[in-house]
Amino acid sequence: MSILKIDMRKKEIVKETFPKGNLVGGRAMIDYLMTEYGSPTAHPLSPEAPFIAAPGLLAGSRAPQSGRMSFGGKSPLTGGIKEANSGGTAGDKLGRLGIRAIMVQGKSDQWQVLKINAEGAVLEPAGDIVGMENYPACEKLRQRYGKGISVIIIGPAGEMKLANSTVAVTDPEDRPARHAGRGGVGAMMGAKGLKAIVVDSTGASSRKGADPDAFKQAVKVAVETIQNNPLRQVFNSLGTNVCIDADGDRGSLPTRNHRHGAFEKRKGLSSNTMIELNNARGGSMGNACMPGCIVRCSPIFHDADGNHVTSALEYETVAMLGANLGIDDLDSVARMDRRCDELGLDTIEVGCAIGVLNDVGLFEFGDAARAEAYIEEIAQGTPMGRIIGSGVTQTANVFGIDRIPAVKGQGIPAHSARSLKGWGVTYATSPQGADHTAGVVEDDPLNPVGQVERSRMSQILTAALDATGLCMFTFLSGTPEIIASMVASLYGIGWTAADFEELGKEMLRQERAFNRKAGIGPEADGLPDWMRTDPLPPTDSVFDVPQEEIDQLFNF
Amino acid sequence: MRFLEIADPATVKDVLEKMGIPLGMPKVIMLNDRQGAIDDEVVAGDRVTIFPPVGGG
Repeated sequence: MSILKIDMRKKEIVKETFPKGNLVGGRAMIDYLMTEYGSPTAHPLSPEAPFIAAPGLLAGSRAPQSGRMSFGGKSPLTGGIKEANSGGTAGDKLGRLGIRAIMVQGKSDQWQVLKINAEGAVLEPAGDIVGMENYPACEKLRQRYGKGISVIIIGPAGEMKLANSTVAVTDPEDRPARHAGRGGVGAMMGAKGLKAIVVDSTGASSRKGADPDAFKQAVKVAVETIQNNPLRQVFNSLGTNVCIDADGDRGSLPTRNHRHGAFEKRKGLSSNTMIELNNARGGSMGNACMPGCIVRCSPIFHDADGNHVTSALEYETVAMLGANLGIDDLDSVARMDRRCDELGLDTIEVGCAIGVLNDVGLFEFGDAARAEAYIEEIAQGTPMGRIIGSGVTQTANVFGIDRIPAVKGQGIPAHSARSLKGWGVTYATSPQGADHTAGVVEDDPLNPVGQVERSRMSQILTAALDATGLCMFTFLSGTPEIIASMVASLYGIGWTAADFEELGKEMLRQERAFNRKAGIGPEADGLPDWMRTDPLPPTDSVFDVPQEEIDQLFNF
Repeated sequence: MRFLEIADPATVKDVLEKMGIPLGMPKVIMLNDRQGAIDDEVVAGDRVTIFPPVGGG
């Protein structure tokens, strides 16, 4: 296994062997490389700030749904360490090619494409895809490099280095619909002058493991465990959008700029509406975002004429561009999702940013045309578009808005913190900023007692999971033992559930240490004050987990 | 899976009560291959599945 070190200024690529026994991948690889090579004080968009792409430990093997890829470095949105991960087909291919990480440093004056295949890696001029949106750019790259490639790409938002910009990864239908969304990873890649990475794994077979029989057996157990979990059926049939009704029911669906926890017009956005429209129009539920996926939770959404609009229309997107903006028109939400995929924008952050504009009279809830027009302003790079594209905190600061739904500068996602208090603790404390994938806590949602402990354990295990490349929905049914046995037999190293947990702890320690040196200390571990005083209807709950308890979360 | 005999007409709520599942508990309901709600009508042969709350997206 190796790591590619890319110097964008000299256009040099060095391939280094990565120590076999060093079990870091994905988010752990970013934590490790940022600790070794990253400068906490460098500007996130400067040549000194590395941009890192890393598949997980299990990538390229037959481990189920193990192809998620991590992207990160220092975030222009939070100013701290950042990892965002995405499904898609590239992680599996890089794993097959034996590549553990790509670390990009320096800056190229001309936009480049990094081509990786079994023969090696080269930088080539990006040419006519510069300035292009993601779907047409990927089509051009397939014409240039062949149909079998996976593409990792930034859109115009990343080229503009907007603090809310994503890295897209192509899915099994070759569409750039999977995004490492949060924290401005697109701007980090753009700041290197790197427009795209194309990966061709022709000739590379899947990894069999140091102990092939044991690995095969461990995979078999993992597959059966996921298959037999009834939650698989929920995600497969209803998609993640199941949460529109589920969170609406329990008062944790962000509505009208996080002012309510239930949306009276949610029927228009629900899973059942999506299924009915799909059945009538030729869209579908239950699609895989990566090879080897068993859960298959992704919808493909068509318009009234039966034409593809968008893929991966997920709950967070539907909630933040729908309910949070008072919009109940799923067609409009789907169009906005497509535009965000084309431009390379995180839908959570866009939904938060447009939402706060209501406070200053620049957005009326329910005005879908206005919301769509704001996204077009980002496409055009107007001053207003750039402000919105810089995230909710920047937008609020520019317009003198004091009620900002964000932690460490990153917009709060679509499981409300006040009525899901364990989740609120995760938003408050994650070194990544408010992040719905950093540590899910479902138990006893309205009770503040015990939430710090639950969030601590969830954040530790989720961090370790993010090192493996496994989808977080594996964890709904898998256990650390099953995951550890796959890693152990693939690498031929004694590795247990306790090692898995220790890896998660070490990752969080590294992330916290980096943040502290970057000027983000423990005092940043809190929700906005107004969430402790403004009740969220219909539960009328406030966030009341004691701050003294929260401050103890990382004592492990 | 359990087979239940319930009144006709009946709702998902009747099914939950019959099974002793607290109505106030957060949950995800599936009625056949669609998401179900507490007041949805059920008829003979319907499949009602109750899941714990989930998060994601």
